[in-house]
Amino acid sequence: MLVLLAGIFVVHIATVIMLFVSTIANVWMVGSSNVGTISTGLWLLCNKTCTQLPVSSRDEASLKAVQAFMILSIIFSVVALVLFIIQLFTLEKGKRFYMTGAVMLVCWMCILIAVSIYTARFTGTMVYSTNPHHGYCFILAWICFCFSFIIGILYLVLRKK
Amino acid sequence: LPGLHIFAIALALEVSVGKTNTVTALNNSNVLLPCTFTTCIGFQDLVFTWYFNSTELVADPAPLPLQIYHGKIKNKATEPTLIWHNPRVEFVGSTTKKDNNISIVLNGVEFSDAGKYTCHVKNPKERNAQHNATIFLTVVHKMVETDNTVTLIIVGVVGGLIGLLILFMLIKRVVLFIIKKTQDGKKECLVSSSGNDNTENGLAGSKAEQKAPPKA
Repeated sequence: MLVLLAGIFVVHIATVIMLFVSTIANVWMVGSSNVGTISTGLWLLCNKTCTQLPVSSRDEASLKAVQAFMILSIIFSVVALVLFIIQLFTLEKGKRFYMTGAVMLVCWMCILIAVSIYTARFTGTMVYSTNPHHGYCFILAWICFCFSFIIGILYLVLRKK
Repeated sequence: LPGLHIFAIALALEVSVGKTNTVTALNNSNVLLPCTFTTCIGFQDLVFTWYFNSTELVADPAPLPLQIYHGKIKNKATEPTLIWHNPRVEFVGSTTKKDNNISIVLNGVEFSDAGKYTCHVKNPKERNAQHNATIFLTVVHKMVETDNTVTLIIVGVVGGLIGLLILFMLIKRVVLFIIKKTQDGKKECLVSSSGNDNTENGLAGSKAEQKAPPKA
């Protein structure tokens, strides 16, 4: 039981770190162009130096939504981590980690919304480059999506010993 | 003399352009370029100059800074006197008040006016101490308002969730309270019923049955 708890804790911390990396690094889409490889993220477009991300006016609202929900998912995953540690010490025996599980599932929803909007709107064509493909941040975000769901459900099912 | 040189720096005159050294102006408007100076031992026959160094024109060798305003102040009790100025530049400062303000206003800003503006001050009373400060002017077609949609979404969702949580707790408390109140009536009946529990007797009976077969 303790092993399971430790495992979940490690996966939770890994999820938080991956969410941070995915939101901050600007490698959601990668493409090649005549000046080298260009990567775009949620905030900047990077070649050797980074400049503001060019976004068409109809995609502006979608990008803002993706940014907001990725930040929200980070906030909620960190809050769930802190809540887990608090509940570990204050919960009575036999009770479940409802609060932590609920917050983790909210975090899962936020990631779902963010990556869905990004996949729907920004996959496909990329400015200034040919052959665009997804970068590691996009993959990390989807991995965090799976992990956060599993962790959320596990918190709801786990009983304190 | 090196000692006196350090002394001069310690008592130096200081020029400041405010908290930020960048100014953005709309095309065809008038822009204020702020500048104030402070002295430790007062000033006499102080000379101040505004220079302009264009970042728009790129020439080799780089062009010298252009003088756009040159003024002189006798002492703290008098306002500055003009020596020379570019016709588009207007002096709006005042040195008789608490802080020595030598700001200028540039009228009819054009795109070619973008660049570095230096406010230079020389004080003969402090052994000709000099100091300057620069402002960077950018000229834009249209003023862009800062966009805070992302902040609004985040604050909205977090606030909404906290509100839902509080609402949920309140409803839970109220519902439990109501249930407790309605069950208080029923509890009277349970207390008055017979003391012995059927379950306990059942368990005892089953224990006796289990003990019998091993003996046999």
